[in-house]
Formats: sequence, structure tokens, C-alpha cells
Amino acid sequence: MAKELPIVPTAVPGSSVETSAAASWREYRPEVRESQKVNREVVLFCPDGAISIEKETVTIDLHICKGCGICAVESDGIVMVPEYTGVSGVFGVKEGNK
Amino acid sequence: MSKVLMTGSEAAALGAKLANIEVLSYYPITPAFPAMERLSKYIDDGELNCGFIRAESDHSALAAVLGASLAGARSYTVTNSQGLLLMTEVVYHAAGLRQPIVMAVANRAISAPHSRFPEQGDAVSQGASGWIQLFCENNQEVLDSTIQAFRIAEELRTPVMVNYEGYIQSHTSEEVEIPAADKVTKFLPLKRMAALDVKNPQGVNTVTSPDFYMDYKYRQNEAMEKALTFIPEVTQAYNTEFGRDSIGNLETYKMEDAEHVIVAMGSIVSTVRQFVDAQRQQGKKIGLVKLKTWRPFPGQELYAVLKNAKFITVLDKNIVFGVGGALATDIKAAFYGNSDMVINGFIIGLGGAKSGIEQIKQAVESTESSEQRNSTLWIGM
Repeated sequence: MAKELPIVPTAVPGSSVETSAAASWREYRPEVRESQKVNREVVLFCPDGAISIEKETVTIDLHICKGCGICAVESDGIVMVPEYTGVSGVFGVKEGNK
Repeated sequence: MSKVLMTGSEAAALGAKLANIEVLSYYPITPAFPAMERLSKYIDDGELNCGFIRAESDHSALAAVLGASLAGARSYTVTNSQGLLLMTEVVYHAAGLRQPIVMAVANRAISAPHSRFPEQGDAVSQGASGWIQLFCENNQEVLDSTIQAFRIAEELRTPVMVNYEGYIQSHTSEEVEIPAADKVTKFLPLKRMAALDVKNPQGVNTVTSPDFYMDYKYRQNEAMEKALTFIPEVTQAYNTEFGRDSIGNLETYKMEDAEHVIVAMGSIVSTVRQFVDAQRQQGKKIGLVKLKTWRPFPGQELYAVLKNAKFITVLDKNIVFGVGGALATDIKAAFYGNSDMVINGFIIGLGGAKSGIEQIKQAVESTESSEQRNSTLWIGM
């Protein structure tokens, strides 16, 4: 069934900036939920070199990430979340902020 | 109601004036120009309170109208042939952004080779654009359809093209009944549907992922399909309000017991009427179905009125190269699997070529004698 959408296709200003250039092809983005559980070898699994780990801090560069989801399969502590979680704007609708 | 002699151009302009358009933009082109000229005069004379945006091209003219519509203004433009082609990108934008723009198109042949003469190829080129397309037979229908178009567009959030043929209608005077201005204002209450809002800024037409694009297109198509029932409702309401007899999606003429039916749209319908009258006097069981709504295509409604015919002659003043006439192609597609009648399409009157009684007769005789079923033939060369 087709989604209920706003009649005129519109987006909240700046929302595509927040979700970066890669948002145009990415449908899901990785989110680090529990950094202490992240497998340190996950940096090797990322085909785009988008993940870096320094000490306890896991950083995923969303300007590079294309949303393949390999990291979330190979490691605990990372989950894939939809880029689009609502209909009030095409891009960057954050969870709990629909 | 008062009756006045007016051209199709004047009828289109008067329709837009009675609809109290708020923003107008156009780029001069023939044969649409007299409508533009008349609208400019209304504004200049203070009879129409409407913003006029001078554009440097047809593309910009429709873009200006689209912007005005997004801001919530009732917006209108006029063009034809090359102008419509130049607008094409924005034509699709307007439909995808669901803006209730009304555009008059004084149908003219498309270059190359260059031609200034009537046919429907320009409108047909936009058949996939998502605009509702109405084809008018006479100048009364141009006026009525223009007023109705605003109600259709604003309810369905889908733009509407009102087609009338260049010269044959745009430059030819006919008697037209004019509805009272205050009644038209009541018939077309202005509901603002602005997408642009300075207090709550939104980006319009941002890049849309595969996750959403198809759903938007589905909704767009849903509105188009709804038009098939909504257009007759609007014409019915219009007829009740103004005591007129304007038609919904199509009209049947002398169809009782008709074995052979001619299907056509636009100005050629008037000529077909004369042909049918003459044939009926000779005892031939022949009828006419006039199509007013071409987009969306009322396939089922057409089938319901044509299902008992043995022969169908479809007259197309357009050519989709390598396929045939647009109307004949649509009819064959809509009737597929339901019928074994002969449906022959004829390409007629391209670029102002003769499309009179003689050519229509040739087409009809060809359908009845043709061994080639469901073919496309060119008439009048």
C-alpha cells in the first residue's frame, strides 16, 4: 500500500545537510548504540573506511558511509536505522521528532 | 446570462478573468497570443486585479506561475506548440508538485518542419505529464471548461490544460453565453493552499529516495483517476448553477442503433456532427462520440457507450511516430480483450491539412471496406 505523504513534496530546511551528501543513496544509516560492545575489527570490515575507533570512541563518518550495513552485521553495538522515519519531510526525520 | 460573439482566445481570457486569477505570466506566441493580449488588457483597464509577470521564455513563464501557485495564488498561463515544448520540464514539475495551475493551449503543429497551423500534437506530447487535459469543441466549451478547470484543479491538486485549436477556434468568433461574474465567484470559492510559508520554511522538491518516489507517483496517479468521476460532478454542478449543458468526460451524438461510430476530440467534432447528420438523412446507422477528457483517459466510460458498435473510426489530429494516433491507441488499449469490433485509426489534418467532410467520409468508407483491421491510415494527403 502506498504511503500517506504530504501532497506537495517538501522537506525541513537543513535536513539534507544533517544527513549528509550520502543520504541521496543511503536508505539506512549505522548508529552506534553501545560503543563498549563494538568489535574493534569492524574498521576493517567497512568497505568505505568510514569507521574509526580511538580509545573508547567509535566514529562513523556519514559523509562517506553508503549505508551497506556490513558493520551492523559484523559487530554488536551498531544498529541500522532508516534515514526516513516519517513523512513530514523527506530527509532527516529523527526518531522521536516526527 | 448574456450572449456575445467572441473568439476562442477571448473565451479563454474571459474564463480566466471570471475565475479571478491572481497571477498571470506568459511569453508571446501565436496563435495563443490574442488570449494573452486580452488578459493584459483586462489588467491594464483595472477590470482584473492580477499580478502579471513578464517572462523571457515559456519555461520561465510556467516557472513563475508555478512559484505563484506554491505561494497560494490562483495562477494561469497560456501557450501553444513550441512554447509548450519549452515549458515541458516545468509542466512535469507542476504536476509532481500538485499545483492547481490552469493553462490554456491553443493547439498548433510542432516544428520541424516549422508550421503555424492547427493540430493537437503539442498537447499530445504532454500526455504522460500528469496534467488533466480537456479538449474543447467550440468557444462556449472553452469558456465553460476554463471556469470548471479551476474547480477541478483545486479539488484534486492537479493542474489542468484547456485545449482549443489554433485559428479554427482561437481566431474564429462564435456566439458564447457568458455567466454572471458574481455567480462564477461563488462557484469558485478561493481556498488558499500555499506550500510556501515564511513562518514555517520548507524546501520544495528535494531529492527523494526510491523509498518515497514511487509512493508520490502513486498518489499523483490516484488523483488523476479520481478526476474521471470528479470532472462529470463539476460539470453537473456547473450546469445546475448556470443553466448550461456542458458535458462531463464525453458526449454521445446520434448513437441510438449506431453501427458505425466516429470518435474524435477538439474542433473536428463540429465537422463530424455535420457529416453524421447528412449520413443519418441517408439512413446510415452512424453516430459520434466526442471525447472532452483525454487525460485521464475515460476508457471504461468510452467502452460502455461504444460496445455495441461494429465499426469505430477514430480521428486523430496528431501522430505518435511509430505507433499511430494517440486517441486510437488509447482506445485500442482500453478495449483490449473486450471486443472484436473494427477500430481503425486515422491521422488527419496534421499541420492544418484539410480535415473536412470529404476527408471524414474517406476515413469512414475506409473503415467499412478495409481488409486491414485495427490499422492506422493517413487521410487527406
